Amino acid sequence: MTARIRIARLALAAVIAAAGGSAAAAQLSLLPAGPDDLVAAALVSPKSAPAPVTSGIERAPVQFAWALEADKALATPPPHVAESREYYTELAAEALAKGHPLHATAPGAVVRISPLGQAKALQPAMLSLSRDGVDLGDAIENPATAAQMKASGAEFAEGTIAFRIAPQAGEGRFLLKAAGVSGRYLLHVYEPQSEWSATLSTAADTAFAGGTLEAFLSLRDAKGVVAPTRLRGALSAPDGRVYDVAYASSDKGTAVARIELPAGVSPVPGLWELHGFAAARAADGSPVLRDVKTSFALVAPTARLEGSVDARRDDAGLAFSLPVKVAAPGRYEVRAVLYGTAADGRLQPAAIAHGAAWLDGDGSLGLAFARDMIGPGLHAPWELRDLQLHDQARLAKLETRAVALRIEPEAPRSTGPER
Amino acid sequence: MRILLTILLSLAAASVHANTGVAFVHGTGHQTNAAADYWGWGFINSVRQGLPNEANYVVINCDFTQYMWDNAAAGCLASQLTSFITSRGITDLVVITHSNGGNVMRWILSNPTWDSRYPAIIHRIRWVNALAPSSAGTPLANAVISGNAFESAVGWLLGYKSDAVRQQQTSWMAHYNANNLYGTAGRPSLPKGFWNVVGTDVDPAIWDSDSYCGGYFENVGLGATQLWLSSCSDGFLECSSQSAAGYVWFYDTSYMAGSEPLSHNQSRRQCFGLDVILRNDV
Repeated sequence: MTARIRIARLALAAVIAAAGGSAAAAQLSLLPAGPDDLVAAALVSPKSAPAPVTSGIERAPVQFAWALEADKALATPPPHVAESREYYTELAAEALAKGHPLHATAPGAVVRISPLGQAKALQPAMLSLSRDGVDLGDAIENPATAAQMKASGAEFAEGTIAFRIAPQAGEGRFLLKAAGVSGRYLLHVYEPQSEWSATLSTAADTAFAGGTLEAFLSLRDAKGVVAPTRLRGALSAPDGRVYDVAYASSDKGTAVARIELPAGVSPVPGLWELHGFAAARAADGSPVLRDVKTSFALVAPTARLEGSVDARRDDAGLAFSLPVKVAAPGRYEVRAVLYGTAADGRLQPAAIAHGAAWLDGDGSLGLAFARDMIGPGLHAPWELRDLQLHDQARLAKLETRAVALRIEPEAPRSTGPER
Repeated sequence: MRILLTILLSLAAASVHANTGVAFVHGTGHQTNAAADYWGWGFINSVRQGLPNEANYVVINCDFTQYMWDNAAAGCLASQLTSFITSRGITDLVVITHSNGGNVMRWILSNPTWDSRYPAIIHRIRWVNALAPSSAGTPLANAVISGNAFESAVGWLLGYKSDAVRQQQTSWMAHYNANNLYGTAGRPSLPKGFWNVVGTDVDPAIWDSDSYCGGYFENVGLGATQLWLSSCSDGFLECSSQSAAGYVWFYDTSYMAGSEPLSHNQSRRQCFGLDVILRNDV
């Protein structure tokens, strides 16, 4: 423990633990960022800062806090792992009219065909399914039209048809035909019972523009990870930009992409989508295709926490003020969870607080935990965890600290020499 | 737990003479007459019979084709709730949401500093009854949005252009649940209770009169879209999504008349006694 941090802890211990009603205050420093914390190396230059992506941004400062359930453990969710048992491909009308070979790796494949552009709308009667020259008309189970699916809330393109290949028709190679078609079509095949799946994840769910992000793509069958025969990737921005992504196979079978992220964030809101495509051959030599995608936020570092904290205790409760370095005017917010120590010595969540304000330049944001929100059975050590800084106008999480402050119990008073 | 809360809140309400109101918050779509077009007046009128003052209700009409944080979505919802609370003097508000309406409501509950109107709304909410909320998104949104990013430059833009549908893709909701919304596993709880009613199946049989409640055509469509979902689903949302945030109040077959399941269309209609359960809850 550095002397500075120790002094800060002792000072705040006096703030927190002092009995009686007199107010007390201390200036502290945030604990160093951990390896999984989000911290910007540098802020954007004010001239290159992106414009807000939300409209009607609030200008009034707002603070809010509420008590948390003591027995509900909190944990930072790991990055999402997308899993796919499906693939998409485009087909020309000629290919559909002639018959498209569809290799099902499991019974019960769900097939959807959507017209692209001006392609002719599909009707159930236009479709046929066969195997080895034998018509399997009955295997087109419960074909649904776009109108029917739209009524359920799933607005597929006009002229779409979806059906399931009857499970009793089994797996293997089918020939899918459509009569009277023109133009191009999107074929979507989902195999819920398949042992073949692709997974895709990113190392973090938020990344800074101009930085890098690692992504991990795996293809699996029933026995484990399979080396794909073909790998492709793409990165798509909310504003429509698309970038190629190259995955490289690793020794462990999982393909890794180290993505150099674009320097510019999207001027329209939304998440960036990372796509992966993997192809392989099943034991019988038939092709296996999987498309998978996940999403993450690409943000511009428009502000950061300065690193100091002004802590104050009074009859109202406990309050923190955090200075913020601001590169672009906007509405910024801090949020954090206050933990206290229970009688059994375990740290448990007490309350969560948010504080936001419009900042034209450097300023500070406050967190206030009212006394009645902090359980009476809790005492020091206290911790401020899951501290986050957000740019509300640009929908961006800018900084995190899993553990931001630790406040030890007040040290016993000593009349001897200073240690 | 909910029973205990009910007793405590009843006692509190009696002691301070709470003025109870109920708000109906629709799902994805741009509604201008949600009472007739989305819920049905039979449902609305049945539920509000449970209020001490049956006039204390509001049916929200907003543009929920937008992202949940948008002014046309959460901003509009905040405006209409604030107006209702102010004009009727509401001190105890029960919010009933359906589908994506749960996400818009959860945005307000999770981001109280976003808008200076949010804290006053949150303070007055007793709890949210979330009918089939799309808290973890739906694979159907993935399918509607997705195309082929490799063979067509615009493939991934195919289909629906609604931001609300983009937002309800499963990986997007995973991101928002981890970063912008509370109430899911491991995350801080919401400032007010978020109680889910979970629809578990679709019954589109033509010979079964129950299939016609809420519209037979709609239920047939949900029977088709159910193919993209796991075995427990209401035709649009998997049970795991409906129960991802907050607490499960009940699964449909536990309380609906005849142990009927609620399809995604039926969980916003006067079907199998759902309206009576909600009436008795306000």
